[in-house]
Amino acid sequence: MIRIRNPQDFAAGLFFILVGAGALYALSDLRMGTALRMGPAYVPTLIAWAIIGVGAMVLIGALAIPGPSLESWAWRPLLFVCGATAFFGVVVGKIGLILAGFGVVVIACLAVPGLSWPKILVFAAAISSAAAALFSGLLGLPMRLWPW
Amino acid sequence: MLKHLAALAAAASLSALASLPALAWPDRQITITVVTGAGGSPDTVGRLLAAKLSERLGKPVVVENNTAGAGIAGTLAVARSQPDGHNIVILTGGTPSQQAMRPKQPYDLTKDFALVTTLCAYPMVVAVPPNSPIKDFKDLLAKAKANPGKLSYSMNAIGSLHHLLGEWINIEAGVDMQGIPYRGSSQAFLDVTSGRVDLMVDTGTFAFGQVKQGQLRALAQSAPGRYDLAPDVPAVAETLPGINMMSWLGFAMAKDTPRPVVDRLNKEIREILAMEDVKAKLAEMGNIPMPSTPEEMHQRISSELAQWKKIIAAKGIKAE
Amino acid sequence: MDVFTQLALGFSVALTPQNLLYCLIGSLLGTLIGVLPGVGPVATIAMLLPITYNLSPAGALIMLSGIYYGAQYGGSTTAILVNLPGETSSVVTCLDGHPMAKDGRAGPALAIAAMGSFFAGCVATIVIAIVSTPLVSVAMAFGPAEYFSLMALGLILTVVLARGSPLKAVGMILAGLLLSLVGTDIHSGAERLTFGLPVLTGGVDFVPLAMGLFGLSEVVSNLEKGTAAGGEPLTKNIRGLFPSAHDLRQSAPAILRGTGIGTVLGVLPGASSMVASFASYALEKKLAKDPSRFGKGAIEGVAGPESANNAGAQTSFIPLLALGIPSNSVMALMIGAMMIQGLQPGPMLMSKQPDLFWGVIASMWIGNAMLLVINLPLIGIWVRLLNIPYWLLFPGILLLCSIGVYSMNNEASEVLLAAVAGVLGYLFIKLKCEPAPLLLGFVLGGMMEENLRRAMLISRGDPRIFVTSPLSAALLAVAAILLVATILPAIRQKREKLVED
Repeated sequence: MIRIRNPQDFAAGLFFILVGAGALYALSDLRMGTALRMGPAYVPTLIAWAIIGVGAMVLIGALAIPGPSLESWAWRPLLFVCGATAFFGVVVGKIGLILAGFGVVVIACLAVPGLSWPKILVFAAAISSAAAALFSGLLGLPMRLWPW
Repeated sequence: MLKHLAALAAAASLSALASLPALAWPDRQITITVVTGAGGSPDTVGRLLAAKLSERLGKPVVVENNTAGAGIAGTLAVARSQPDGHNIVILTGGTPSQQAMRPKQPYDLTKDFALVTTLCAYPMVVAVPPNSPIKDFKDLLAKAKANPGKLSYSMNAIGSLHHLLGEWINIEAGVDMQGIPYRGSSQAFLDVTSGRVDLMVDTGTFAFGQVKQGQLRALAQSAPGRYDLAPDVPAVAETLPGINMMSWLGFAMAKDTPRPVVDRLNKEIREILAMEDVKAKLAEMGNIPMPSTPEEMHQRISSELAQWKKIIAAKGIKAE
Repeated sequence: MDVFTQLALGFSVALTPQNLLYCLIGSLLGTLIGVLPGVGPVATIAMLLPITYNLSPAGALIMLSGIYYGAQYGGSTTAILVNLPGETSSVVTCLDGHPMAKDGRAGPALAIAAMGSFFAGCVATIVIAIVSTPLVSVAMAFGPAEYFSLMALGLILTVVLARGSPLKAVGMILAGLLLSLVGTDIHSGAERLTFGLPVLTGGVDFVPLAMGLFGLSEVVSNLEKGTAAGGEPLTKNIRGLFPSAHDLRQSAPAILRGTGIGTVLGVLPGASSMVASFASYALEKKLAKDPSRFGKGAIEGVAGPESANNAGAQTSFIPLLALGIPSNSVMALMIGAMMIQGLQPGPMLMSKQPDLFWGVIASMWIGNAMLLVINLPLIGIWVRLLNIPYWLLFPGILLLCSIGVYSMNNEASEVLLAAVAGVLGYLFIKLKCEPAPLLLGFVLGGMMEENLRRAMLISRGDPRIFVTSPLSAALLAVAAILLVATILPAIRQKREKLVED
């Protein structure tokens, strides 16, 4: 009976196969050419097949050799840390560095349970104004500071 | 620290405030978007003009580099910005060729912009290493004819001005030289000087400097006639009439920018480009000033678009 | 004029109070922007260019080069302290520098980075002064075929330096190669793997990718371990600010070897300073008595690559000074700065303006000395950063990351890319896939493919070009030997494990 003995590697193998397959799909309407006159799809297609091959080997290895099981994900920090960064990108052009920076710090702090709101707000205000002073004041980066 | 140094420039600008006419522009910071990397000729010229403009307009003028998406993101952002004259993008001679190569590009240079003026221009240069057996441009064409498909020239990416000039010469002279694409001039220069590639097609800004240093020999340049900054280099057109191309820089803003704003900026740029120190700086970089009316700029872009599309179709070059 | 007279002339220019001041300003500013991830020397020098119109040519060049090598020093600080590689060459520094910091040895890591860089800077400066002409022939010897083979060797080195399963490392390299091919293909004009997103037309940027894969995922993983909740700092037991005698003994040969590798590879235009730091890292790991220490805080893993990186940064001036061609985007800016001053960079610079030429070279040595003096005392302050509770530190790291990425292009989508890369980086941690091979594949992939196709165009479709060139053949042979030497034991191990099972 086939049994997944190394779930971590099994997932990694699946990931590689998915990446390769996605690339093959995206490359499907480009010209391959030949080894001597390569088209735009030639090299990426080779790489995509190679990655699928590696993925398959990792996958098969995961069936044969026992290994660690999958760890659980820390969704809360992941969501708030990457969310804070994404938030900054989306809003900074509209509301400026200071408010966007304030938002980043507040969202980031939500990743940690048990921080009190007054603490967070004071901290956010301090850091975002320091960042504005550093980047806009000292370095003179052409960035909007306020929404107006 | 930069702020303090910039403050010096700002202080100098206060004197210009008195002479502002009634136009309510600019009422805040003006941003010039440069879609090529810092340090390239659009960037350097953009920063030179930004400094002069902010002195004359009394508002800060800053340069922002946005190289994301091969320049398409930054150009598109200006096309879609508020049409109030506070966002300028620097177009280049490469912008029409980019559009000719990419029918699906999200903007049309002839329709989606208020063109302001061209700024400056330089030709492309065909050059060989000093010890090359190729004597001059006519000799190049003769050797290329005798060895079809054998000569190679270095260029930028497919569809760049370098490539279009090479193919144009191929068409008009009935020869078949092979373009080798490079990213930028450095590796191309090394391959040409060490003999791996026969000749170099590059920008005047790069090639004339190397010619002065004795590291390259210019066979021809692509201006319509002799080029002021290198009068002893023959024009391609002297041998192959009809071929001429200049790489230029130009200002454009969002489509519905009021005409008085466009005209005011056009007038300021005209005056700045006539200043001796600006001319001298441009010349150091291998550029000559080339102010134009918005209509002339439109005309230039349309005719270049048509010309590039013709070459691209004739040579079957296309972005797949 | 012999070298000593020339250097004396150089020092007489570089030691004027004014030029010393420019050198100091440049080094300080460089250190500052180097520490800030994403804000690189390119943007800073570009902003400063108009100001340099009014300086003397020597003053302008001295200040701008100070920013450049200052940023190289500063870049390692963030990599070591918070695992944020702001530029390609700092990726390697993260590998052992950050584990050292977590182990309470940030001080020795930072100090050895500064000392290695200083030593490498001094050597490279002398090399520029004495043997830049022979080194130019190294640059000339590298055509597309040789570049391809060098990059291939670089990729093999990546497998060598993988910590875990080599097979997964190969997978990550391939993923990096694929990622590097996103965007417009210069050989055909075709858009590849962009999935119709205009922002990917020019390819994926290194900085958001590296920040997400290394920096953001590291923050998430630290938070996961519960470091922040109890008000705890990143490291509790900070041990010593300066390297011990033992550390120095271990690092000295690594610094020497790194300097050698970096000096030679720095001359090649392209991403060579990063190839140099990877090569130095792989070499140290191969030579080490106990390679398993690498990745867990081996001081040679910081000393070697940092020296290689700084030596390469310094010798990348050679193509600029000797040929007038830029070997990277900072050097392109330097050419712009010189032209504005009415100077034509190239072989005639040395004979026409010896005072300027030798002045700039002398200032490099002075600047490196200044950087050492600036950086060593700063270490105490940096290390104290690790002492503050983590919940006070990581929001600042996130904000620095976001602003840094945004400031490159003022482009929202690149910050979003960093966030996505952060999620991916976390996935990789969970799957025990290392991000470093992916990043190296990413840096090398595009150049590899371009040079492969370029070589085939030049040889008119004859693949023998890769072995008829002795240099290329030698590089490929080394790569093949290394590959076999790495893969065989790994396979044997696997088989044994299987048998045991």
